[in-house]
Amino acid sequence: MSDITKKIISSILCLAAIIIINFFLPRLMPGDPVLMLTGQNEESISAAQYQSFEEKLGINYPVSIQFKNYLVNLFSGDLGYSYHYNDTVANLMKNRIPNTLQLAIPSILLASILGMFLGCTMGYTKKQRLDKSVTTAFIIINAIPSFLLAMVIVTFFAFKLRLFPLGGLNSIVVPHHAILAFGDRIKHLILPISTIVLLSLPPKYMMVRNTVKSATKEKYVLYAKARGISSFRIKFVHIFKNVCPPFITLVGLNLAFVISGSMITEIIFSINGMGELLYEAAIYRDFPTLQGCFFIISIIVILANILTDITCVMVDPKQRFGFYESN
Amino acid sequence: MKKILSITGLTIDSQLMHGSHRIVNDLSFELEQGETLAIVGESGCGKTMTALSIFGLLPENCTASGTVTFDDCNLLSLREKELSRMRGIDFVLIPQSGADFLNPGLKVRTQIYETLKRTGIKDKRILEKTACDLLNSVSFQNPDSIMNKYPFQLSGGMAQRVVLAMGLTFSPKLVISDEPTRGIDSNTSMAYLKELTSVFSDSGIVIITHDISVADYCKNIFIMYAGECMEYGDCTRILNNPSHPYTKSLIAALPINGFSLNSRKASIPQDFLNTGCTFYPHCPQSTKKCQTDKPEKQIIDQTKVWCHHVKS
Amino acid sequence: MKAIKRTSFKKEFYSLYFGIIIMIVFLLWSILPGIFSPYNPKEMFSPWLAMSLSHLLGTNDMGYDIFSELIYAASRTLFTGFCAAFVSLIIGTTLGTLSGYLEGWAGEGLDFIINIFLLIPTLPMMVVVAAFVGPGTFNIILIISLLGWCSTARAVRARTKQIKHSPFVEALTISGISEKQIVLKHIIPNLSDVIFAKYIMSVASCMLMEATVSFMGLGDPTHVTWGSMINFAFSRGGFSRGVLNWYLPPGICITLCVLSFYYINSHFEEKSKIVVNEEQSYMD
Repeated sequence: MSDITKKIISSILCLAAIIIINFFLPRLMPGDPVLMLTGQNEESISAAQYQSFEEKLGINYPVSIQFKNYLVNLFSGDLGYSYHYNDTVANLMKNRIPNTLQLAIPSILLASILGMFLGCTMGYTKKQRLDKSVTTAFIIINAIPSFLLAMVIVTFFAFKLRLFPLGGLNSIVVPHHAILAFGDRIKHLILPISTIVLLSLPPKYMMVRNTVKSATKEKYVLYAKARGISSFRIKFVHIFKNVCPPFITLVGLNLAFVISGSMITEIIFSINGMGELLYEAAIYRDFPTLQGCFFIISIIVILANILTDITCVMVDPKQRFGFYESN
Repeated sequence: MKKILSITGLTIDSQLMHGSHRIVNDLSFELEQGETLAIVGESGCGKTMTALSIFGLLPENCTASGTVTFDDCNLLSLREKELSRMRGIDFVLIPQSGADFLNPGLKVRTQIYETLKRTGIKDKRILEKTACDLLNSVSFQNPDSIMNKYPFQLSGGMAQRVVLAMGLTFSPKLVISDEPTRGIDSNTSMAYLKELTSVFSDSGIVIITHDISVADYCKNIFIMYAGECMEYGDCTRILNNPSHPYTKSLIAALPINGFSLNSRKASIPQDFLNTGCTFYPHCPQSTKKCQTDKPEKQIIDQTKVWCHHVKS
Repeated sequence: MKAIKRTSFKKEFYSLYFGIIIMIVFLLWSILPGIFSPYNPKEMFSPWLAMSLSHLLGTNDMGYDIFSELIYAASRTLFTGFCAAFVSLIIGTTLGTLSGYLEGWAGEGLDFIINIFLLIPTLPMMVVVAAFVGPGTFNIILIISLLGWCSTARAVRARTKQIKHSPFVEALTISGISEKQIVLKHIIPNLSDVIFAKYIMSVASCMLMEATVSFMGLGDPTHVTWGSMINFAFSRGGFSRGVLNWYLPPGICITLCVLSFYYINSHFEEKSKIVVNEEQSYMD
């Protein structure tokens, strides 16, 4: 079995596992599944209401039929109904997903480019001290809890220095002109995106730096030097080409981490995204919303993972030509 | 003939965790145009380090002293930028096995082109043609298909010829070939050596090898042991009439000369010794004097020998 | 030359000393909080006091002394981290060794399980499960360890595979030693350095996870941890008032703790030469 089919199969299995977890969590946990699935309190609910909920959810049916219904609902796009927000979960998501992606995608791209560039430069440099100090800085950033970093950044850049808005995606009064509105949006995005970039940079940077550092001892680098190839070309063509495949795999594996980071950043910057939704749902124990969030985020992460795996195969000639299998 | 390379008093030190360690001590040799010199020694005796010091590519923890004169300038005192301009054009490294030394992530085409681009050729068609000519000259029948392959798709011999072709791009003054015969059976290796010496007939060639039989193709031979020179001189003279005990044992160890248990006591080179002859712990003729005094250079028949037992 | 070497040699130890000293301080805080803290954590003063000599870090909205709270929170935070890491270590080692050692169907299957767990987005999953099972230190330990064992399993699996194909195991197989004995007596002892390194790193990452879960308001309400201190500061107005002395100290404590684990680990890794000159991330 080739690596890529293996990855795709495990992605599908992962999705199945998430569906199963989502289905069984409210049913197996101690407590009344009806109350859990509706997110209601025992005190606030009348017997008649309870009955109607019970029928609506089909809790009385055998588990197999419940599961079938659950799957049918899921694939027709029905993620449940949030009684806290008085809206379907699908609708809630629809408004929030673009906001989260707006933060996550630029951050992933920026962090990948920056991580690659800094990693290549620091891994190849002869200035040991520079390398050491940059690496130590990243080790420290990596140790800071994500929410704290976001809070500190807000406090200093928005609260104390007043360089950027405190939060949200727009000013209270959005400018009418399209370009001005866009500028306003960018202004609001700078701080959260740089927070997420800072959060997701260390693992990428360290991986690239370590790989480049060990690649500088490779024979092909020595030979390229002996042929008089410029160090810029050695760094960004020769070594880069060989660091790319593992790097892309890492970016794929870290996607979930970046999305978690952007969710936490949303909470701090009070941006109307999935993260804030998850946070509020967790506070109010709004289980349908929680599960819906979890399911959608998982799908995004898994799809993105498959995407990175395919990119990885396209970039790595050794995988394309089946080098690993023959050996 | 014109002298292209002359090395005097080359010493290489390496910094390790627990102190400094001498890898190469006080080497001197010369190379003329069209001459082939073999540097013979066991693994770990400092041959490759000597070659790398000419290229200025020693590992970061190593420092070289002495003089390496190439084209009237001391390579050891040149800056990295100037050296990098000369590398690959004036002096060329032919590494031991092409497959490891070519970048596995780039096509052969890219790697040949990037060397060719240093000649200033920018036109794609001329690049293509020159590259094909180069590959043809190392007897490839279908250069185009070779160029579209990745190094790991080539066989060992093919990769080695690709590397040879890349060395041919410029007509270099000095060619350093590191272990050209490693990993190839003896018939092929002889053919390869012939090819190597014929394509670079106008340049000076340094062949670094552990195999003394390679020396058949060379004019001069330089025998190293644990970072020091043992014997240096004309090849046929030394092979027919070796004076140093180490050379004698190397020749005795050749397969043609049969199998003998007593030819050497041990095979692992010792650390560099500050006093005495480096070879004395393994020398069949060692005496008290060998242990305490460094042997002086002796000249017999124009061959330089460093040994107490040889009297000029 | 020698002088340079000696200092660089010492510098390596500086980071180890740094790690050990911080670790000792935090361990003392958690074992004997009464000695270090100036007040009982439940003692009330007037709220929102600024930093002063009598209240080193001021007081919070309820009037509790923040410095005392910080010291009393150490034990819960460290306890959660160590326990969760231990449980995830056991799961990870078992599954990793088995999936690395077993051939064919079983090994592949376990490998799939590891890969599936690696794909699950951790934070949302943790929040959902924590919300369902309800707050409590024990629950949080369980959740973190059930989701945090993958990286250990992966490292152990890779190492087991490597050892399994090494000549000495082949020699043992040839001489007829039973598989059980090979795994228990020959492979697992050789994994100890990986396991140790992974344990220390996963204590760090478990602490970070606990802090995140607590920050999301799903921590144990009866015990204060550094993460929940920050959560209170965030949700009860400390953040919007810009009271740095409330939410910064617990954050710094978490950071220092994670760093100390990192440096202790990197020292031993260098010694056992698992990784040469590599810096690793807590989130892999």
